[in-house]
Amino acid sequence: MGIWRKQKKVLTAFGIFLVLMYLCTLISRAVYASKLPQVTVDAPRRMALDHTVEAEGIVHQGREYAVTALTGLRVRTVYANVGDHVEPETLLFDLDLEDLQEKIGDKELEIKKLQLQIAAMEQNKSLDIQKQQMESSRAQEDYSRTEEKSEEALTRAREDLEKAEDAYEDHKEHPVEMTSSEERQTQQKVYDAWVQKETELKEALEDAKKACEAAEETVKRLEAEKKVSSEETDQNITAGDTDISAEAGEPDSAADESEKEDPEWKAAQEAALEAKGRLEAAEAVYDAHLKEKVEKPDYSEEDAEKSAWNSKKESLKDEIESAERAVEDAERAQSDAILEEERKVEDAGMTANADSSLAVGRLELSALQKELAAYKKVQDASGQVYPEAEGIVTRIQVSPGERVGDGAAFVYADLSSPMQFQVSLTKEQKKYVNQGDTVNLALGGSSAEELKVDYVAENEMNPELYDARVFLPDGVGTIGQSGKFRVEAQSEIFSCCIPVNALHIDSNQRSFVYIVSERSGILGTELIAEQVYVKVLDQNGSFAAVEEGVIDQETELILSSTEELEDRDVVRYKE
Amino acid sequence: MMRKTIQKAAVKTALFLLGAVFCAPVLFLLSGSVMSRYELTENLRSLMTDGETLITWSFFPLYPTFEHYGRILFQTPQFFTVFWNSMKIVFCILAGQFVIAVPAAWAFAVYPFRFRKWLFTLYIVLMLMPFQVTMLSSYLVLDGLAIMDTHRAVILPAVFSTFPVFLVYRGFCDLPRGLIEAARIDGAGEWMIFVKLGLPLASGGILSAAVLGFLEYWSLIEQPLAFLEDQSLWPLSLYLPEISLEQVGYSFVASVITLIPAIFVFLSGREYLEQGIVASGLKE
Repeated sequence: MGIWRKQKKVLTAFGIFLVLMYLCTLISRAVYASKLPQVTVDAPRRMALDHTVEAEGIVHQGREYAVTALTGLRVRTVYANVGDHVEPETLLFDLDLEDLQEKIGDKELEIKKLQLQIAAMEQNKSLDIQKQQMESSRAQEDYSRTEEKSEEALTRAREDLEKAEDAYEDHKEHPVEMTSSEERQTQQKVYDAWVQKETELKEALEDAKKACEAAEETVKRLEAEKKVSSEETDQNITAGDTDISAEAGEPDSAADESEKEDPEWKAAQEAALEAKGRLEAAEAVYDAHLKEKVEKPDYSEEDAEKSAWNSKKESLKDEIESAERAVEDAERAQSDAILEEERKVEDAGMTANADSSLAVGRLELSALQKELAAYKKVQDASGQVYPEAEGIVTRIQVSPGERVGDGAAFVYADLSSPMQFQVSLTKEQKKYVNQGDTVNLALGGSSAEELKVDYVAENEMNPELYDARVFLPDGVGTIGQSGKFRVEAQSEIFSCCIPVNALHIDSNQRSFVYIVSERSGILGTELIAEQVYVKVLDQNGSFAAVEEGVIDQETELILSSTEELEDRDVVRYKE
Repeated sequence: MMRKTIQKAAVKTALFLLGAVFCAPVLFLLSGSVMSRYELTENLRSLMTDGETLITWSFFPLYPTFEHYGRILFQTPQFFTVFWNSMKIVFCILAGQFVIAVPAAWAFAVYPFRFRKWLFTLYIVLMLMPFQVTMLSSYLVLDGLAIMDTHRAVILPAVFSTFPVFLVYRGFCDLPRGLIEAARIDGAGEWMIFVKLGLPLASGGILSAAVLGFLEYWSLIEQPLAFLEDQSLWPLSLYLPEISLEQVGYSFVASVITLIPAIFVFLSGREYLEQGIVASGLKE
């Protein structure tokens, strides 16, 4: 307790502070709540929408007649005005007769010109026909001549071809006789064998010659050596002993003895003789072989003859091919020439380009004559124009001094046919008004009458509008009388209908509603207005049917608010 | 004499300047709270644009206005919602701590039960743990108790905080043992001793724990941010950052008003706070 006493002032101040904070809490909440938009809410409901279409219209004539006059004629005087009651003997307007006379003169001149042009065209056409017949005849003649010429050329070419073929066959029947290749090979082998043997014998002969010469050389050398030794022996004898000199008169015998005593010389002598004998034998064999000489085989003449036969055959073949080509050329030339001539004949037989000018001229002439007749008819009527039946003039398209335009000059309403009530409807209204619907029609101050809608169509001038017409019974209504048109229709049952004042449209023409939703914040859970886009299915002045899904019958729709709402604005229910 | 006077004046001037530096944030708040919107925009333009230039500030508003006060106090019920949330949280925590922490500290200080020291050491370790360490386990427990996104998720963990036990424990330790024994001999029961003897004599520690607790829980941020999702349960500390820069004047006013309860609590408990801190600092 001591603590409280000591800090009494501070604690009191703190208490006051808390009290002030509490009061400020209440005040700020009150201020905050007073600034919140207060909203009234409602839930969507299931219902059908009633549509009432009301529109004002006027009574129009039932049928209209047009009074026409020839286009381009000048009007002199107009006697009737819009709204005038006219009868068949009432003069509507008359035409300027001088102008009419001038028009007639122009037409007559045009007719005259056209008649002359037609006559010239007919004459030209006759000449063209004659010319064409002559050209056709000439072309036919040229065709016959060309056919004959080409046939002759073709015949000649075919004859040349036959001759060439005969020559070729004849040449083929007389071929050159040739040695067979086997025979040629046999003869060549025989000749080759002889040549080889001759070479071998020649070489053996040479060898024998060389051996014989070598043996003779050996003998000569031995003899020379022997001679030298015998001379030396003689000289020794001369110098010493006369007996010996006496015996010198018998040298040969001495030599022979020495010869008989030298075996080398003797062997050489025998070898030389033997070599000589072999040489002679070789020469004899060689000579005998030469006598049996085989001639070398030669076929050049035979081959040259064969070559010449083949060359001729080829040239004959070429001639046949040339003749065949000539035949083909002749056939092609014939077909080309005939084709060309046939075309010329066709060209000559063809009729000239279609020319409708003559027919057109005749038609124009006919039209001009009709116009002239019409003008003359008007002239006969002194240029005066009358209506065909009784009626009230509703439109005048001519004025004095001006020329009559295309279309009706006068339009007048037929009083004998029933009237019709015409009213313009908006697109929205048109949805609930169809042909055959029952309509309550009140004309002027009279009571409403139930009639049928006879005709509904888009307005020709304004596609946003529709015209509805109701044909009135005989004797009902007068032209120009005002009336009120009223049609009631009920839609199907929609499961989600909301009051129209809950529906808003944004800048992009999209429909939306505000629904009550909750948001958690520092102040706890608060109610907010949430913007939800909806698709409007149908609508009348009080309710709109919207597509279910985004909102349903549990949704709280904001119908009105004390302030302008924005999406997610905090709101509270209206007290 | 003259020199002494000059020295004294110099010390006073230095202290005054130091005090002014400490008071600058409060002056900043006060001046900003009465500054016009235009002037605030001009001064804080840097924050609203590129942030590259320094902000300028004038402690003397050119056209002082109480418009922000009026708007906060009379047109912003959201502020009072979070104000009362803060008050509720803080006072519930303090009341809970009085019921839980003070008897616990009495038990630690007076009764020599088994494992007392170990348990007290565990308390100190838990006290030292920052919130980030215990956040996940706290979240799991609170979720298991199905009290997430309620004020109880913030209040209950704080009620069982070990810090006030530690502070109050020091106060109870100062009580002479003989006094308690004398009371027992005179026939006083344990409850009587606690209420009639313990609480009055250790009121300084209890109040200092309450003041420190108030200041801590008044500016609680992490726990509400982690455990409170519903904005209607937020305390003031979470509301202030929600104010946009265009409404920075409200922020100044809200801060000033937020400061007022803390000043009251500080003024009322300053003496005990000093005593409690001194007592806990001198012992052991």
